[in-house]
Amino acid sequence: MTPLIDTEMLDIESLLKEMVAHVLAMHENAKKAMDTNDAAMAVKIIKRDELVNNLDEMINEQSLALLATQAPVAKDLRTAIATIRMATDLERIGDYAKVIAEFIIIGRPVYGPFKVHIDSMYDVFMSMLKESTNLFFNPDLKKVYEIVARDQLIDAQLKKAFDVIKSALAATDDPSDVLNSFNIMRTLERAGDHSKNICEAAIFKVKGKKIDLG
Amino acid sequence: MFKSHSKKRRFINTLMNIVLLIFSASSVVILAVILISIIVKGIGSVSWNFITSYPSRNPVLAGILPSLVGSLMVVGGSMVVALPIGLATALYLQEFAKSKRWAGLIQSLIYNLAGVPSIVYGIFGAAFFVTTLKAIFVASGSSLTTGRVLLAGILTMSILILPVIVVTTQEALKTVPKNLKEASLALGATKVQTTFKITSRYAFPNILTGVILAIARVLGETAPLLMVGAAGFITFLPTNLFGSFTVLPVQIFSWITRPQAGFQATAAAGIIVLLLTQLLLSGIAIFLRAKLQKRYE
Amino acid sequence: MDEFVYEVSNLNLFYDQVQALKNVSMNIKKNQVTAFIGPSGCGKTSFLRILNRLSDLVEGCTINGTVKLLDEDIFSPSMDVFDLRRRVGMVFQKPNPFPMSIFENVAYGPRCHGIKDKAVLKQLVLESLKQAALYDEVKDRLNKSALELSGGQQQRLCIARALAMKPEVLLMDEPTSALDPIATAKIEELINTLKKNYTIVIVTHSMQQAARISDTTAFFLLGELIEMGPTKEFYATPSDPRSENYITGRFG
Repeated sequence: MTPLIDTEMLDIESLLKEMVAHVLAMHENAKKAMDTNDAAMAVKIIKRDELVNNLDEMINEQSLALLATQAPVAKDLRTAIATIRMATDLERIGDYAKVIAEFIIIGRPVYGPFKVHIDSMYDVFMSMLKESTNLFFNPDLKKVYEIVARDQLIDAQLKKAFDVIKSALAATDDPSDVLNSFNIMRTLERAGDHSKNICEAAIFKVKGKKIDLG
Repeated sequence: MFKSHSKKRRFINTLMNIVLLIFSASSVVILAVILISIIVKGIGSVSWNFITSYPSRNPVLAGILPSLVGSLMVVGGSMVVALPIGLATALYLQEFAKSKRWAGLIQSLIYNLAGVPSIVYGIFGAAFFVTTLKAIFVASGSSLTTGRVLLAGILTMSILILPVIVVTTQEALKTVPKNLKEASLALGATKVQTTFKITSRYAFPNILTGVILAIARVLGETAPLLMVGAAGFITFLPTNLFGSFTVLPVQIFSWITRPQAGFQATAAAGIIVLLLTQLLLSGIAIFLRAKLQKRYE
Repeated sequence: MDEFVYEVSNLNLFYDQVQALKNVSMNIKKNQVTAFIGPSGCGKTSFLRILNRLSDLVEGCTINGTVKLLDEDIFSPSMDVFDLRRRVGMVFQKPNPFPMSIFENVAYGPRCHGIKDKAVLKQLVLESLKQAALYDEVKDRLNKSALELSGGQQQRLCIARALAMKPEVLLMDEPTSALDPIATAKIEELINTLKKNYTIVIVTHSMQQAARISDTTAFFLLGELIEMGPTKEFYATPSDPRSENYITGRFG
């Protein structure tokens, strides 16, 4: 006989997994759409963000009900709290895909010199996102530090671009492309931070403590 | 699925109710018949005179005073002897006995004694108390020549009702809830304090019930008292422990066996007095019990 | 050790041949609420009853190991068991007031211990009833029978009765399991106040109750002490998987 609480927790977990699937897909599509300047794809991404927001709301509601009625303790309690935190971070990450999609719709190209930075950042970020969400469902504390370390790669790319930005702005008449592309990079940097938060949620699930991973 | 049996079940239910009613009614009816026939026979002879006179050869003049006094003496005396011993025994067996096996053994012996026919106690009383008393009298050079005295009657009745008192007291003590005793002990009271302040007080009304039963039993005994010396014709008050005595049932028995027709009415009157005495004594005990129960509630 | 009221080492309890407690060792801290939890038959109530030697009343009960109350071995011949039970009071699952007046109930313990002075008794009774948060409700009817009180009031009366002995420790065996939620809440509040002056040990079937009111929780299973620790940590991150399974309801 399955305890009642397991059924409810499994429901919430499958909502979370759905959310993960959507957000991963949104970013994969956003990267492609950026490369091919596909405005139609960008519109779909923005629509998908609505789904993600709905899932976040549902997870919050059901988690609240779980806490109120099942009085979970220990592992169940830590999982419930970590789930809410991860959903919040995922929702943010989903928003960032929307931001990128909105840029694509405007139709302007990416500022050439920044493309290599953006590509590299996106690759690292996607790997962080995939692995940190995996980690949440199969916690492995050794892998955490390794994933978190990658965030520094993203930060490094952003810094490189920042170093170049002054001269880039001076060399052009219309700064909008430079600034827009730089914004995308900052968005990706924030997305990387939120992926790091997902790792922290995974640790909280196991340890019940927040460990600052830098 | 369940409807088809209900008619049959209801019928059996009603039938049983009626059958049980008939049986209960018949017990009441039988009792009523006995009482009424006695009252009819004897009520005419019951008078203050009757109660305060001594027996006589003339049925009209015969009185019941000595046997009434004798009964009260025997009841009172046997209570004085049997109650302390019986209560102490029951307390010991129920509350203080260290070895449950020995206690159980003694308990079953006593319970068996409670079922022994009264006549056996009479035989024992005659064989032991009467002869011992006689021996004591002879040895001490007193003028008394027989052991068939009031004291023998009292002692015989004492051992007769002892098992009854032990059994009913022990049953009363068993009804005391364990958690009350635990509460007392948990406060640091000793076993003795718990037994006397809590257990006995709680069981007291039921113990008193046992006493009522014992009184009734003693009042009604005839054969054993005959065997230890209750006489049929006494013209003085049996207040001397070492003197002759008689009791109501014996007196009544002696009247019934007289050939004169008038003594039948006298006997019936005696029975009425016996019943009234029984009622009075029980009534006092019940009243006491009710009063004490109120105080402890 | 000043901070420990009880120090128990290697306690084993046998009922005839059956072992009910296996090698239990624990320390109970002063002025705290320690809760014992565990499934039925795990030994927590048996252990509680050893603390005031009510276990003495059970036939065929053998104990080895040491139990020290403030550095005194409670099983040593020099320990007066009646004084022990004065210093360590007990409240039971089903409220069990004596069939006497409210006043007499509370005065019973002191009277048994020799206090006869009427003024002293009155003072003790009033103080204890106040400490048990019952005084205001019964002050006009101290001479009425205790059996007329409601279940929750009766239980507080039993607490007052124990407090009248000026104990150091209060043992409580599932004190609210027979009470409704409001009466339960009142008693939990009372326990929270009492712990400032007394050390309280409570056996409870309700994990929520243990979580709410205790400072330290001890988990028993099949006669063994599995885990014992600060309540907040125990319920958030228990160390032993058996504890985790029990408190999350994953086992029978």
